[in-house]
Amino acid sequence: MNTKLSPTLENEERNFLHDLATPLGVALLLTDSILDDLQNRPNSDPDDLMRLVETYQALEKLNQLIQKRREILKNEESEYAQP
Amino acid sequence: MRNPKDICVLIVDDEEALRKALIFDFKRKGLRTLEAENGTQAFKLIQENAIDVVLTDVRMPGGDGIELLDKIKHLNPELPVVMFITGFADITLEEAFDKGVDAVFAKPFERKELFASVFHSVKDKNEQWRTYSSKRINTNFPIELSFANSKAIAPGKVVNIGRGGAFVAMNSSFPQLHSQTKFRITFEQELLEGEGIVRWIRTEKNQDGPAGCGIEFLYLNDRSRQQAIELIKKLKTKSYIPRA
Repeated sequence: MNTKLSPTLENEERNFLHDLATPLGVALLLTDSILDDLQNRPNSDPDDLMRLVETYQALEKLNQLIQKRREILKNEESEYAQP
Repeated sequence: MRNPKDICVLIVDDEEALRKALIFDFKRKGLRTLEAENGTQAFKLIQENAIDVVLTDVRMPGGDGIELLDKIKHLNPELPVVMFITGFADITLEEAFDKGVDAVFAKPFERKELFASVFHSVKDKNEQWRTYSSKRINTNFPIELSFANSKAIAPGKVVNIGRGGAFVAMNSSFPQLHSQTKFRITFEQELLEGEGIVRWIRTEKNQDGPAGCGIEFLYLNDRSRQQAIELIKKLKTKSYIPRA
């Protein structure tokens, strides 16, 4: 069974991943920035910190899934490029 | 080390939320910021203001990042540019460094690495290359490369040098991408000794040049540092790492 995407679908997925990466990047940036703040504050609630760390880890997991998918698409792209 | 309040960062991205998030953080660190939503707006700001480093996305409606990069390098080859890429066909790492980009980040990027890179880019060359950096890089594939006239694990020939590194032609035994390398290279009768990181690899000859790799200089010993700075002045290149 051929599991490769057609070049059109591949392009759409590439754009989709690009569109997904920007808001995810914003979420990661802001979460990491707030984490830094809370970690430097003497009176931070440890439960708040832990929940925020878990939020960051979940976002990071999503980031890794995007990276993995990008790699697959890149490999498919080079296969299509072969004569 | 420059005072952060003397450093002005221009952030160019069509995504307002990303610009605001970066501006918040840079201001918190004491830097001055300017923002633009596309390359056309950004270039106007560059012409009208003293900007120390530009952070730009590649894909933007109304003037993309590659066009902006070309204009910046035409105006001032020394102005550091950090580029956000998507990892696809917009621009390859090889092209980006050749066009003069100082650092490349794929979105979503790691915040602390981005800040480190921005602060690094505004240092002068002497300061950039003074600190031995082996502790700074985590790699599972440390390699020793000795180029030109030495017993080598991976022999190569330095073809060209840019503002931030060198293109080394090699036929085999390619290093790992992102791996750290110690080098002794001879270029225009000058021996440069130091440490670098492999930023891109071209495993086969193509229209851009012979097979080889692009190495960013991270550290140069005292003597080599002065020689490299003189060489760069003489070469007057916009490339950070030349592709050939």
